[in-house]
Amino acid sequence: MESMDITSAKYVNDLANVKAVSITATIDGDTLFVPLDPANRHYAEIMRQVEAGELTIQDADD
Amino acid sequence: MALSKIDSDGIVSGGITADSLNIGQIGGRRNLIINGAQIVSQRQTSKTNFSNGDFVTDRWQHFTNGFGSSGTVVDGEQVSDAPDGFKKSMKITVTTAGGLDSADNYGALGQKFEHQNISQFLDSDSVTVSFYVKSSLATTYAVILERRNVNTGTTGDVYVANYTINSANTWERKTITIPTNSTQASGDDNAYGATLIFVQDLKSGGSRDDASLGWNNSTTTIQINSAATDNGFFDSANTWQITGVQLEVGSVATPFEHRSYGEELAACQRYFHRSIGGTIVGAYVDSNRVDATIHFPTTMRATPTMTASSGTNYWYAYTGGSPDYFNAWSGAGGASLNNGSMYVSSGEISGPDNAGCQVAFSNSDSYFQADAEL
Repeated sequence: MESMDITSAKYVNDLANVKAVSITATIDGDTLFVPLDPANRHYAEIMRQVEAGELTIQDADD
Repeated sequence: MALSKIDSDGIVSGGITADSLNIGQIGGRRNLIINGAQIVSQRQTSKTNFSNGDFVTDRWQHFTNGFGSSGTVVDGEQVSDAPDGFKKSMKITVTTAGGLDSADNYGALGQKFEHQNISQFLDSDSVTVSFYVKSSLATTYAVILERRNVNTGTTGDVYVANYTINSANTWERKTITIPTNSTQASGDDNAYGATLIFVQDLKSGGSRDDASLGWNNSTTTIQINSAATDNGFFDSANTWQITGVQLEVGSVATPFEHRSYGEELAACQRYFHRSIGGTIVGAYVDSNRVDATIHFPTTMRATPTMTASSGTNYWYAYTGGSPDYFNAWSGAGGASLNNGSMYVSSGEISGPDNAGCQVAFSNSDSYFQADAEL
């Protein structure tokens, strides 16, 4: 029922810069900090769009 | 309880039970709906240009796919106009009347359920939805209960019903009993399991307007019976309001189960939480970065998406001396169902390395939000 307009997505690493812990995404014009949880609706839609070839998630800053 | 409702056999036998009272379940929590009385609105109490996916009252979401070029605009608002015994209702107002854009376009308001909160009831018994509704347009409207396929996560079955508003601008109570649905495998987790949807109107001529009244096996979430299409709701400056929504097990609509504001707020906060005002504990992990942790008031359904308001000097970190103001948070660190961390990494701030600090909400528009909606 809901469509999300995702215009950017970028991984964020943890403080130790060991692993990604979230994605900073622009969804419907708003900046959202999205966790890597498949049960989260924003993460699920990001991954759906990635798998469909509609979105690329940028790597985290070093 | 009126004595006339007591079954005389129950009295003679000396055992007055819920069954002999003939009013269905009378004990415990009956209402599967959260915020049915529309009393909680953490995000906002009104929204102009109420768009697809927007919330005004908690847990009640706007669904539309087609105002588009029609120019139609609707507003959503929590209002104090309500039937006796209620204080609030959710109101949709057509502020720019352009009708619906094309076939299959619709406007609706609904609430989503987790599998574990509804599947077991739909499997084994009928359920009854009751609600108070008022509209400027006396006509036929649709109600849908869509049930999700536990394997695909998409719509599996859709129950379609109609109701009629008999008098314009008058509160009326409606009840609809939905029979057992045994065709879907039952889910038992926090995933999206079902949606109760009230449709204001749907434009005919597509694939959503020919559902049968009753259960339909379908992968299309929004579909209605032809008798409730093209009712003209979006063609004029109409209003539609709802409150007192109850969904309960069994075939009888019992009186609305009122819960305190605190109870409803806590239930809503499993899905959404806005933190306003006060301070939280943080730390300068280096001179230009502050991390802080937000604790949620209840365990959330899923790890939430975090957002925060931003603006000139909305926030400050404090270690003594002068406040270290900043405008916006940079991102989120790790999170769980119970807490989430945020950080600001910017030349805007400058503090002592590796020092604890207090992070303050600098003004009344400063807030964090945690969103674990379905």
